[in-house]
Amino acid sequence: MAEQQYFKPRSVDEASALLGDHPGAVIIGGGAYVRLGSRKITTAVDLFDAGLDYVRAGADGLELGAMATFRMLETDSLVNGYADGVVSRSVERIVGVQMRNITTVGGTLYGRYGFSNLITALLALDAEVALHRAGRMPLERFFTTKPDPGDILTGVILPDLPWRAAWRDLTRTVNDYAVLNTAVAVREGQARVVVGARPGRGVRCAEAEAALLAGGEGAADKAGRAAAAELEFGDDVRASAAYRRELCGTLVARAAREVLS
Amino acid sequence: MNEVGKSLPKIDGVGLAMGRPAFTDDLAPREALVVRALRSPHPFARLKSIDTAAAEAMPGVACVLTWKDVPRIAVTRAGQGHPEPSPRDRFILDEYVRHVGDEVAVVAADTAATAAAALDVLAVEYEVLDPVLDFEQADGHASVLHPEPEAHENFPIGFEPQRNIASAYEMHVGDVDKVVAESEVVVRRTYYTQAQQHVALEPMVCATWLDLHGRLNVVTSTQTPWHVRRIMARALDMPVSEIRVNKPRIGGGFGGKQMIHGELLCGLVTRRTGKAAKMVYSRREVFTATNTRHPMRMEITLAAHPDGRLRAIDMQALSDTGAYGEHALTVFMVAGAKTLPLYNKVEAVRFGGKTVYTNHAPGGAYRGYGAIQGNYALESALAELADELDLDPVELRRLNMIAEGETSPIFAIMGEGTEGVAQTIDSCKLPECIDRGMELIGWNDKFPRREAGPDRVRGVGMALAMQGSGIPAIDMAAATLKLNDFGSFNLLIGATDLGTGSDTILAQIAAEALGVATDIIKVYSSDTDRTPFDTGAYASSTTYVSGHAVRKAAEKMKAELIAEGAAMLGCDPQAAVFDGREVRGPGGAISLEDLSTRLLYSRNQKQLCTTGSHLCEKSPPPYMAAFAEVEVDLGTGKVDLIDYVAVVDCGQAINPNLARVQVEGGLVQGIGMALTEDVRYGKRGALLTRDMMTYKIPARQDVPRITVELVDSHEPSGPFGAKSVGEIGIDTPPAVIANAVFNATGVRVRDLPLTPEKVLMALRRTQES
Amino acid sequence: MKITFALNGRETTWEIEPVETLLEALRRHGLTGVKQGCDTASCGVCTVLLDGKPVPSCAVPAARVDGHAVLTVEGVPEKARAVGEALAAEGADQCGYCAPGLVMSLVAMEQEPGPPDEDKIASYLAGNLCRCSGYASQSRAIKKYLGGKP
Repeated sequence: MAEQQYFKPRSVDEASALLGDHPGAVIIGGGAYVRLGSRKITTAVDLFDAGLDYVRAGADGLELGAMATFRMLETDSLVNGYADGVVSRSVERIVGVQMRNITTVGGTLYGRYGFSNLITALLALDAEVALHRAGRMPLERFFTTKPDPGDILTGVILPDLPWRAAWRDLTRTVNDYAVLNTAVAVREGQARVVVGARPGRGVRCAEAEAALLAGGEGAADKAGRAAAAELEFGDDVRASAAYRRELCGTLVARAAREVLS
Repeated sequence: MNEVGKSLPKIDGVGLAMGRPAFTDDLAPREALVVRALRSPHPFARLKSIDTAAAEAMPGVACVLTWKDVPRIAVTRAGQGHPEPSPRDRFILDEYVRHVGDEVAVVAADTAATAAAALDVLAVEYEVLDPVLDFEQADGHASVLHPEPEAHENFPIGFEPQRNIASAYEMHVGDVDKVVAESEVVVRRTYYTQAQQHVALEPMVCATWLDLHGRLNVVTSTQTPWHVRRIMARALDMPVSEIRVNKPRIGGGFGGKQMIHGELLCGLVTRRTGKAAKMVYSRREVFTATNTRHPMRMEITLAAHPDGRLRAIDMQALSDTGAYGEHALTVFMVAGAKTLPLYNKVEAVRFGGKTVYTNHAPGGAYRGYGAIQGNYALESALAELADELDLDPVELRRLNMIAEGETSPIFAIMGEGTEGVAQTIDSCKLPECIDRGMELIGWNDKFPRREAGPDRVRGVGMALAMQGSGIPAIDMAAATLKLNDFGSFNLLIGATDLGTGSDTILAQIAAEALGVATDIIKVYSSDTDRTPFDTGAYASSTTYVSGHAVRKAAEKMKAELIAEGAAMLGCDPQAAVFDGREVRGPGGAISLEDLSTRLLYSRNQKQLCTTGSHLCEKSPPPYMAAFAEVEVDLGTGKVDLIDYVAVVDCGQAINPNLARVQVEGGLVQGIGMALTEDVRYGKRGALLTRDMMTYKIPARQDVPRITVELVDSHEPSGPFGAKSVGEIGIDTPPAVIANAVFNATGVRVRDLPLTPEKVLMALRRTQES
Repeated sequence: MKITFALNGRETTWEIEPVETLLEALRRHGLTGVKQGCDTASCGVCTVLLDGKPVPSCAVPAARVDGHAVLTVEGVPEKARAVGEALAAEGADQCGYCAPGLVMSLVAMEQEPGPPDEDKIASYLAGNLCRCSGYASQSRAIKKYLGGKP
């Protein structure tokens, strides 16, 4: 076994330098999903003390530091006050307070977890990510770009936009991960319908968004049907693709009804 | 009564909350080698070769053992009486692996990291075999799981390994086919129950070492210390007398620790190396490599008169015991034996079928032990019959259920693995349980359904249940009371407290029989060297069987105290009494404190020590009437439990709080089985639900409202009127919730659990048709 | 590697493995109140407070706590006794394996703003699973414990 090293840089710059000095080093963001012993990590760079555990009002919007925890998102008044609190609603029941105290924004986005509620909520709000080297980019682009292993995600920016938004998910037990989740957001001339845990990662659904923008009688149900028809669903241990498709129609329509009401 | 019937605090509660060392891993020797098993990635394979050289060469590795290093002695890991009614179809390690997670080899090293590294460098060549993954295809499958000549049954249990049959059973009373053919109303249905994981929060843990005499000491998280000792001795080919097994506090059992897990491997390592060894299961190992509830297919036929009087019940079952036959026959039999006597007025009854091997994780004991499978099928079918007859399901039960003073021929025919024991029911408060339950749930207002907002509907359902109190003519327990100077007692019991509070209630029974306060009874339990024998904590036996042994020991002690007190006082023992504080005679009195101290230090010196033992002669069932209200989301199929009411006849509760919590805890495990707990395998036989993120037990908010009441009852054959209460709680939720969902929606789901997916898809099918 | 941290209010320096979890390190040093349960941060029996916040020690790298404060059940014996007595009074303690983690969650909950109503208790303690009690008796005990405090 190679000698293992564990660093706790006190700033992003220090962390970045460490990554430069130790090619192959792994960033420890949350910790929840990292069974240290089960992975062959030789160098770990833990951002716990790097000053990224903030939620604050920034120049362009609400800033969530990469080490902001789900518990912070759940309880922080700024997050609760943003877009009808949809980000808070998305994370507030996951597993338990303990887990939410160590699960972080950055760890979740880097994990690109299909079951993630947070990713679904952020995608619906046109969130941007901030990277230490690459700068700002839309969240969707972050997901579709091959990450630079030497770069560090420092946070998420939720632009100051007047979203009306709603959250829906279905879980087996109250505190389970979602069988399917959805965030729906609208503002003047804009609509977002994102569905995740399909079980794939949250994605936008253009036809459902178009149905919401078209408005009129039954727009919410139309959006639900459109999302169910358009999106891809799969089987996993929580549910089958066929069930997820049915569920998608129901949950999207319910969330849409809430934002349109 | 002074001590019985009081909700005294559990004697170990505060120390456990403070985190004091109490569990196996807390007590294991610090220097113990870490034992880890290499586990099979294949559901069925032969080990062509295992190259252990690289692992053995690693610094810190004490030994690497494979099937070639172990005695070729077939055992069962089912912790049952001797000889076990389960087939002996296992070895400590074998040339074949029969499920994903089965043990391939074992490594012992000085640290966990070294052990893990050693596992990584074991080079195994597998000859992958065609697995049996569908239990309905197991009988007659081209693959045979247990062709080995050493595998055997201890007595006839229907063991036919060439057909993948671990056990088979048939019984009947009357001519079922004839009665069914003659009956005007017949309901035939098939139900499926799933595997279920125990999820005791403490995983399986054991530690072994040699004491100064060279004897093998075992501390282990087990429900059955004596069975562990006996089976270890056989497997390791050593005398029983050379092994001591001690169960400390254990973090939940529920039947999962009625099997032997790491003890054989740990014992083997200690025997080979002479060093202390410890094995702590990871949660993934608990899921993949211990036991589950046996999944079953239950085919039920009910025949009835148009007025609802049942004429015949036929229950044909197929049970999946997975890779090994632990508890195969006995769980199977209980599916009938602890359900069918509920409806004892039938003209004919038949029960039978077989338990088959598959390449899944083995089945085993789990609270309910077949009764929950049988209850789900029988009580669902009765609800379907009631619906067909347009009868209130409560009335259908009242018309047919067993009553005090009655019997059922099934008691004599069916035991656990053998014939049963005839018994008359001396306590059965089902009428009271039903009345009170209906009142608490509001049955008459809520049956069958009511709207609960857009897309939501509520419904109520109900079921009855029975269990047993120990295994008659098999379960036996003993207790010793020892008098100490200054007037305290040690109660030494073989009984195994799993966290249930049995140490506490057994002390209460001793105190009641002696007439003293419970807090002067100091309990030491579950140690094969230091306490008397007990078959173990299973089959709802501890209160009824061990409790009786304690009562007998205490009564003897009381007689001896009076005799010795009278001798000190110089009076006739017939004229003396012991009131809990002093022995009083006509001419004076001597306090317990003085008497005990003199007996040990100054006068008539002797140790007072009395032992009681008790064989379970009958098995009076506890009963329950259970009711639930559910709310179904018609857009998602999600079932939310609104209220669960259970009214129980467990005889006299020795400690009402602890009895009630047994029921509440059992209910929530049953609710988990009904709604969310789903053991799922992939197409190639790997377990998919192998952690607590995918296998979901109920959390606090999933069970918002549970109401449990105990009715007044007295079982004449029980200690101070007690029956059992450990298992009855788990039996009803699958049927009750399925019945409530049907009443709410008209949708009948006949395979567990009732996931949102199954409910919604069934709703969609009914909407289409 | 060495870590220095405040363990139950006392500055402590340990030699640990970089791959160890906080749970493993605590138990290796004899803190038996911290239990191994699920290995995936899902059950709550390994709950300790890190800088005052409840965390699953099975999912926290031991190395992370260098320079921080860890509180285990061994550091709150009076609270643990009081909670233990409340649980025992209701028969809610059962196997007791989840009790120390529950104690730690309660200690943290008491620091939260707002009164602990029934919903808050249920949601705050959602991550503390119990397989024995069925929760109802725990809820009765916790209500009495919170109600009975000065």
